[in-house]
Amino acid sequence: MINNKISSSQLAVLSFLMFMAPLAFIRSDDLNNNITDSVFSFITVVLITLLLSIPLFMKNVIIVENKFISLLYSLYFVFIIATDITAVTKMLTNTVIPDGNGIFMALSTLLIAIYGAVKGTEAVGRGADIIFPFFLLGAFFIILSALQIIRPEEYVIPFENGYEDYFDNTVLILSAVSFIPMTIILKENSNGKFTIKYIIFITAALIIGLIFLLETQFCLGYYALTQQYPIYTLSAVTKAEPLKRLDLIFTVIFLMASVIRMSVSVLCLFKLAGKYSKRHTGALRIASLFFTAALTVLFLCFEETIGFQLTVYLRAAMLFIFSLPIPLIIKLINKGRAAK
Amino acid sequence: MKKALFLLIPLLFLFTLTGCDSEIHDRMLIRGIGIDYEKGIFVVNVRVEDVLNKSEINMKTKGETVYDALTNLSQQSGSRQMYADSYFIIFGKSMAEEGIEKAMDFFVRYFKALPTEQIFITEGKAEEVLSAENDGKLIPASVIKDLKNSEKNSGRAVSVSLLELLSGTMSPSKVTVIPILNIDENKLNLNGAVVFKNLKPLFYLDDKEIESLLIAKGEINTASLVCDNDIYGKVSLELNKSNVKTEIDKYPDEITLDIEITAFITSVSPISPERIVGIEKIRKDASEKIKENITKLISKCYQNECDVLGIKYKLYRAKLEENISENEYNFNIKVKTNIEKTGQEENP
Repeated sequence: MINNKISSSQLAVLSFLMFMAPLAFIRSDDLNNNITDSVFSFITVVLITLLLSIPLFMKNVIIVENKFISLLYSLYFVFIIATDITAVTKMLTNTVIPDGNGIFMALSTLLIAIYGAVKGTEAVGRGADIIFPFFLLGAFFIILSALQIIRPEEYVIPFENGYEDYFDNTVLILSAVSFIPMTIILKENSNGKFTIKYIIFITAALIIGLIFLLETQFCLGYYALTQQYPIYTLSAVTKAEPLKRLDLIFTVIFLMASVIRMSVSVLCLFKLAGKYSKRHTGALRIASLFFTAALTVLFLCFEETIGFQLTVYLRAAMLFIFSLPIPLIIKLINKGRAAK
Repeated sequence: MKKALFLLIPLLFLFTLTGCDSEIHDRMLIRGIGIDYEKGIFVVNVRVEDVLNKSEINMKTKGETVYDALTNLSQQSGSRQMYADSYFIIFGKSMAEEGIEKAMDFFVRYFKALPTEQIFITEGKAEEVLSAENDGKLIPASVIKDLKNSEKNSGRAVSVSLLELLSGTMSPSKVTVIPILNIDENKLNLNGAVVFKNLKPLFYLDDKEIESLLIAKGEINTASLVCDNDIYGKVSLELNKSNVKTEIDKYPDEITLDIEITAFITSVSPISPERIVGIEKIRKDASEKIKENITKLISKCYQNECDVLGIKYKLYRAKLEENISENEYNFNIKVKTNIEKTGQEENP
């Protein structure tokens, strides 16, 4: 029997992993010029995330009751899954598995995410519980090893080219880490006090993310700007005998977190399909997945034509809309109905 | 039906769990790369691990670009190149004179290149270094890689990795110093270094100048200094550590380098119970000598507009005007030598 209840701690762990996973896939081509600026962008992103998380701190924000809203959120999740898988696949084909077939990798990743989602909320929550300590261990291993090659002279003055880079990087990171709508939907299935745990885990994500970014600046310096995935390169230049380079550990922990993130997105998609039509739930789920797969292939094949920046701005704008205004309006409507 | 479907999905993934697609001996494990430039053609020599015979072999190839040449290697062995374990890149004189930026981009862009690879240049051909033999065997690539420890252990050599080279080139000073690796009677030898600006060679630094450079940058670990005087005789000092404070007082007229060095007396000749009397003189003479060497080095480098000490970076951090040329900097050098150990001189 599939159990769909998770504890609030598991939901906080899921939020942590969903927040951290996309950091590995941010490209230096898109991170404008200065990684020190990105440090400030990252802090800003965490603050914005906490602000956008207000609906998470409220009780009974149920957004899957309205059919139209469910459809909107479904389309949002299809877009998020497709762009997430595209980012992961691009990273893998540019670094770890250059000879791999991108489309095959993308569809395999989607299949794994579907498998997790089919197993239910509890399975994904337990999966996150297992992955979380491995993620922390791997991250600390890389962080500690990188401490040996820090060079203070690689410090770069923040905002040296004005504030434009800072704003661009903030939008980029914000769009990458968008996870709040997933957490809002999963929260309906969680038990226990959530707010404090959530803030603790997001603070932990802030600390780890900041250390990664600072180490990237202080270990790689200007060299980071020549690398497509600077945080990945940081792990490739660090070593801890007998391991010559730690990029494999980095890839594994971030891939695990990404799979969890995608599983949660597919899970949300399934939940919305179920609410939209109880009679045709299965057909709707399969249709949405086919649509997701098709969109992923489209992004992989025509990213240059579609324009990467467009997807960044779309993701950021959608994150804002689906995290704060819609849930708050629904909350107000529900409150009004209850009062009547 | 559902259970069968769930079973089918993991079963499908079994096809992806087939392990490596080629055996280790089918891979061309590259340990080091040497690049020469002849009439617009890149001549690339590659040191390859011979896994089956537990030895190393050299392979030579040519191409219009470094990658073009490296791709041609497969025609000689049929194996696929693997760069993840490469230790070093050696640029021949011809390549260095042409400007190594022509060859660098491949190592930056190519995802399989390791950023920690050591960089050397040689006064002859890179091929000569890679094909040098000792006792009838090629000098192992690991021995060439270990030469990077000379900086730490001799204080008269520099080491630079691909990462440091590019980071230095992209920094405000745009300067990097690359060690010269030569073959001397089938033995490897680091003979000085060349200062590069924007990946183009500018001038040569000898061993003594490298030592002064490391002291002035506060990067010395071990170096020796000899002071000779009628009072104390001939004294060898081990310079152990240097702390450098750079102060920009009246920019750009006065940039003060305040250098404090820790030294040990390692030998004195002739042995005399009175040599302790001259310790203050030794300290003063050592400081003077170091100051003189650093002054000469700074004069040579900054007249060539080469910011080897990274002053431009310090100005950048201090948010001072950067438009002043390096040869307009005026240095005020202060050196203080602290002799912390005198060996057995009190009980000879």
